[in-house]
Amino acid sequence: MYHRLQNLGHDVCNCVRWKSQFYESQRDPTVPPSNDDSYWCALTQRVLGPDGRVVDLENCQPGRACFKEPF
Amino acid sequence: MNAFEYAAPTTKEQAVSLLGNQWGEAEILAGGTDLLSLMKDHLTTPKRVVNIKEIKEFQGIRYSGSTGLRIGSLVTLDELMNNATVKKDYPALVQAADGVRSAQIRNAGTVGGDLCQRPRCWYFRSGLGYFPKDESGKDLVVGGENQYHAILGNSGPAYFVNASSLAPALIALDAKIRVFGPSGWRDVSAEQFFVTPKDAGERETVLKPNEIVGEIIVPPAKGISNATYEVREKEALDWPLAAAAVALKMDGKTVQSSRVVLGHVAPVPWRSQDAEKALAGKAVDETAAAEAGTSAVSGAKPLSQNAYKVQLARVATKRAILKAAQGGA
Repeated sequence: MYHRLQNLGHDVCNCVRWKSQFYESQRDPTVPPSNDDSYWCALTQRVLGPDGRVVDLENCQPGRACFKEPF
Repeated sequence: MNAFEYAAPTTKEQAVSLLGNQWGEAEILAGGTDLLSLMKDHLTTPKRVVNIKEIKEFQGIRYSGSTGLRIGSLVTLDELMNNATVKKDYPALVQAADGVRSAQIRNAGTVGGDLCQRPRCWYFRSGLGYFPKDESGKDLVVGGENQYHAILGNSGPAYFVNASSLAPALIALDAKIRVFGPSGWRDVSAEQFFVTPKDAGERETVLKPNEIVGEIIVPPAKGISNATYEVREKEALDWPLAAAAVALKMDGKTVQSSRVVLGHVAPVPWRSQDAEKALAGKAVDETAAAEAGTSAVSGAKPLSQNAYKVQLARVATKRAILKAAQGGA
């Protein structure tokens, strides 16, 4: 679930959502990492955040106007 | 999703009579892979949904040596790509259908639905229409998140890309789309079927609100080598970043004539006559294919975040040409 957040080097907004957040699974080390996830914002429920910019793990970091601190 | 009246006609005449004269009054349901998400997002709120899946006349694939391939609009993408004739003579269609992810979509989604799907632009899907603007009237695409938007045909006001996977291949194969409406059948070439909306009340095809795509006729492909090549970011459910479909008529080892069509780079599938001219009279090799690829994007005007798509379209064109020259497989 959280392997996406490892090695990012920055915090990710508390409002970012992606499907694999919602189930328990172990990462298969034989499958190369990919960017197959689709992200959405918990506030807008869309792929664009409240500021009209795209939601993803890179964009939704401290400094963005709508950033919410992670728990 | 709003409440709606549901109709399941069994003839094309009944179906047409159930459609409205204005866009949005009624919507056509076939595979439903696009319509249901549009309805859930309140991007369309029809009073009536007309399920056309029971219309037998719009089903099935037939082949005749004289008239070519006839594909019913209700044929699923899975049926299309597993049809023996399509696999043998029209690899461009198989490759395009195979690019539609996922298996569930290919099993439910139809050929007609692929042609008529609405733009995937995230501003459009957020309810901001074809020409999204901020509160000050500034264009959101030009000044915003345009990494997946058009690099060709983007002089405005629309910047989305046509989402159809099959359209480039059908245009390359010189197909015609047969449309049924209150006055009967009318034929539209696949190339002329798609239009760039200039007004919020228009749609992305020449269809009228009370017309239905009934069937697609693809001319015999004897002697026509064809292929589709897509470049994509994800292996999972997604649309290509750029695609090219090519049909080559060879005269010995040289190209007698060709049709080169790019997908996912413009508001309509983009036929490149520059690439076709670059190929004419040449033997197909890496150099000729690369030159045609360069010609295909010579008029590209990328937006602030999508210059990378120029290179993808160039390479997709080159690889589609080489693939077609090798028989399409």
